[in-house]
Amino acid sequence: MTAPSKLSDEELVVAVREKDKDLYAEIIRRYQIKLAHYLRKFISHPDELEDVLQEVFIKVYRNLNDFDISRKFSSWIYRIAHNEALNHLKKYRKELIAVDSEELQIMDDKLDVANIADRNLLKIDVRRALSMLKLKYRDPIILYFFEQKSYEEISDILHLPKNTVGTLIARGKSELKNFLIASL
Amino acid sequence: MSTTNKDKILDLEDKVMSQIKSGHVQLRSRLMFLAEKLGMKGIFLLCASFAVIFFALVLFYFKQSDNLVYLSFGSRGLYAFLESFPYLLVVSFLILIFIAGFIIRQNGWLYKQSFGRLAFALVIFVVLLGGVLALTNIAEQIEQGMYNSHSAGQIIHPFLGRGLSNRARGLSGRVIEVGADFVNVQTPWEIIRVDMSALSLPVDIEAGEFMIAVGHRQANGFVAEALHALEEDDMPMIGRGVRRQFGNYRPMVPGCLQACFGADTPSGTCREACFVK
Repeated sequence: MTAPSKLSDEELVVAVREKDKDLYAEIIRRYQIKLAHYLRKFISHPDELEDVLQEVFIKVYRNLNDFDISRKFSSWIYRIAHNEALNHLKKYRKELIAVDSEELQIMDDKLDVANIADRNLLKIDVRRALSMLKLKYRDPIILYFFEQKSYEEISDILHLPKNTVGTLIARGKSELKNFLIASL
Repeated sequence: MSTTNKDKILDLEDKVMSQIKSGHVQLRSRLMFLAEKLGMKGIFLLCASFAVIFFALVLFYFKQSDNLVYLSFGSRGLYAFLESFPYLLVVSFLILIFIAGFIIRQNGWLYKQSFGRLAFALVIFVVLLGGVLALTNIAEQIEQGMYNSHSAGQIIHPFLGRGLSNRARGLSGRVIEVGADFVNVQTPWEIIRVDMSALSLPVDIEAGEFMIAVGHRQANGFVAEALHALEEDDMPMIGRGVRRQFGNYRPMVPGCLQACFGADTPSGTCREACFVK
């Protein structure tokens, strides 16, 4: 039998569904850090984040039979995480987005905001700007810049047409840039 | 990776896997998902099918009722047009389209396409199919069901019944008597005196002909502001199961109806009493 680590996500799902539910641990191992990283954009409190993450993995397991193996598993699991994060935000509060130094560098490079004197200030401003962005712009921007997802994947995660994803990212980027320049 | 992070990762994995292994968290059955999907698709198909039927009924209503005919009077016919408009039918059609669109959106079907385009395609599909359906006699059969079946009639009547109701600003029926500046008209509900003294142009109309008028009601009848005769084929509602209510034309004793109305006798009784024997 092939080692679980050698199986693709989709093969792993089939194996969990049909053969061995213990193999689900491999899915958790593969996605725990990625999803925690993604969810941190919505939920800053570590305990709340852990609760939501646990809920995501439980929901994913429960609904495993609903997954269409001709599709990409990562988009499907990100969609569930995304919906859970939104539910959490609805239930509790709108939070400031957590951005770490590497991500700040990505934003800086992509947005090309010139002459930033104080990087700590920029970090605060990026967090604030992202938090103030409309959700429809914020979601694709987070997935594109911070989660490194392609337009196709973002389209599958957010259930939006690919062209719309492109438009939202471009508009969101422009709003973000304007906000940062205005705050300098 | 720090030791704390590693511990947390193992901790979460253990928490989730222990719930799965204990059976506390279980896979939902495939049949459940299948039933949910079929249920949603069924509701969508039902909404789309009803939207098609309702659109066919809207077209049928416009064709068969007096609603659009009032527009031939220009701005004077506007009130009668608005009064006889099938609001419930049109609103129900729009609600069904909205629900069908909502189901598509909520379920993420065809999300790769823009929703605007999908909604447009849905409307075009429903309108085209409804138009084709209107060419068949299905709408008439539905209407016949309204008269023939008590239970079905109760469901359909609120939608189509407006085509048969009495109007405050419009009137159509068969002329049964012609006076100096009035005509007595048989409608599906009553015999009514139509005052023609307010007409801007004289109208040549004979007993036995069908007519349609716009104006307003008064205590003793209907004051026509505009009126014209109609061919039997063009008479609204004539093909809508109410032919018998207009009755066949028979000459009447001149002046008899007016005298009868004055005595507070029901209009149907007057009609029977005033036919030339």
